[in-house]
Amino acid sequence: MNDLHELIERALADQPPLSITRETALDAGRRALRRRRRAAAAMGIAAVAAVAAGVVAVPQMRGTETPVGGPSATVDTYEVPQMPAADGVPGAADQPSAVGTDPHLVHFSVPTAAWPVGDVSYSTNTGAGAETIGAGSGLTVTVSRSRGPAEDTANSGSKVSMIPAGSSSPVPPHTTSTPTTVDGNPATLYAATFPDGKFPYFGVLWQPVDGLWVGMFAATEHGETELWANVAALRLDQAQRIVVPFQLTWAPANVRLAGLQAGISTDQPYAFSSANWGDDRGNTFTVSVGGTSRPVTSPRSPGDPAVGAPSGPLQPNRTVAGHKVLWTERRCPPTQTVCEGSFTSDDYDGVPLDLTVTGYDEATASQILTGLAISKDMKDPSTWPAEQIVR
Amino acid sequence: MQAEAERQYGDFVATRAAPLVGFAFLLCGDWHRAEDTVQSALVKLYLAWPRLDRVDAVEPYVRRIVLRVLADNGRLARFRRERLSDRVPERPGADSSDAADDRMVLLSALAALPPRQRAVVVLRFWEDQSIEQCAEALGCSEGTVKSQAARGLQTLRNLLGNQFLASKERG
Repeated sequence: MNDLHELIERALADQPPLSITRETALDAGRRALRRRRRAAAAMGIAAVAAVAAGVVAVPQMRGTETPVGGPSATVDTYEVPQMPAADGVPGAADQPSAVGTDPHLVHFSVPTAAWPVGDVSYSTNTGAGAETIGAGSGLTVTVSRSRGPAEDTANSGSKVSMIPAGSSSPVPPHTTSTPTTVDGNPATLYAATFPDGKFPYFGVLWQPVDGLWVGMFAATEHGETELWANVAALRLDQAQRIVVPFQLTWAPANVRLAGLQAGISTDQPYAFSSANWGDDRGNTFTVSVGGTSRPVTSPRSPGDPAVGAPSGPLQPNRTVAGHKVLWTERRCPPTQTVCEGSFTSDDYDGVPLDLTVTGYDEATASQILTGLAISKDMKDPSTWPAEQIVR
Repeated sequence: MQAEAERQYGDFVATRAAPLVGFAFLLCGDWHRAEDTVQSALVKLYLAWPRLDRVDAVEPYVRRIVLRVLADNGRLARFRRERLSDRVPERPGADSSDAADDRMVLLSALAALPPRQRAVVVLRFWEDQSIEQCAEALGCSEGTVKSQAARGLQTLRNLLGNQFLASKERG
């Protein structure tokens, strides 16, 4: 078939000039790498972070000497959006017993991370006596009064599995745990790697002082060095107030705040924030903005940007305080009475909203929603209300 | 990506982008789509570059990506449909050596092949890939490659004609 070869050569002879060059290909590849990090962070799979495009996430070149332990190296670090400082409140290292006792407080801070930060969340778990800061899914730090919550975070790489391209079978990581030190304190270093060698996970668990545990988990591009840069950035002497971008003017009697999760996004108009309350009878309600619980589309192909997208516009069936919202309810055995209900909106004063009640009826939920005010600036926590209920 | 790896990647793009676009063109029949496809494939290659530890592994890898991108976008099956007719153009005579005519003849003939046959023919007889390499690139058995190659060549012979082939041999 030499003739076919010759024919093909002739057919290709008038190939137009290429617009692909070394430079355009490199630029496109770098952009894709940043997009991959952001998508992975958003999906919580590869636990890498977003493009440093926002004002807050300005990359800094900082010579990290990693005095705390691990290999010495220089890595890029990026500012992590902060909650307002809790002036006068001792940090976790000074008062370990205060950790995880007040939903409004985290007793530590993570000013920088070794990955560009797309979003950051602050939360407390008063039941577990733990506080967590998550910078995207690429860096998670848990400070707790007992070993369990911190260890779960440090070793969370072992729970991640990966589905290789062209396969449907998850592959577990290769994991190791080795002794190390942090600031001279005994520590355990966890590592989790996959066959492709990309984005290895590292975690470290240690006790900075008696009665306090710290667990850190990082997804890395360049390896363990990034974990140690994050450890170096951790401040256990700085407390922050957790605030969320909404406020209620009415709530059922005898409720108390059970938990807060505050989110700040650097590259999106808003992040997910939530607050939940309960009373002694077991009735609860939760207000969430920036994200709703809804059916999502199935992936059409790996990497499909539509994955996780809403399956379609909501079909509102109620109007509350001038807002069109969807009311859904669930009935529970044995009496099949309504035990849980939700108001959901794609756009409630500009943000997705979800109000879920258990034990309360629709009229009560409607009254809660009527008193909801959402902050105008969803990106600046210094403008968010300090109290979540003002009667 | 580290600087040295970026340099190697850039060198690969500089030397291999044009042949890859040609490869994609033979598969989809449209220069614009071909370049678009190769651009997509090169982005995927960039992401995979750190784990490609042998230079000779890069070319087969990127060919597989091109095939996959074309298949994902339905372009293998949509071979330049806007230019297809229900008949292959008249077989060119001995005096038809114009590149544009040759291209139209070839594209029309390739368009008549089912997607997998077309891919086998291009890989096997233009890219000089072994049966084993074709099977790996297409994700099928070596037996399938052999049978598809044989059928594809027979179809091309029927479409292009022995007279044409003979004229080219003489030319």
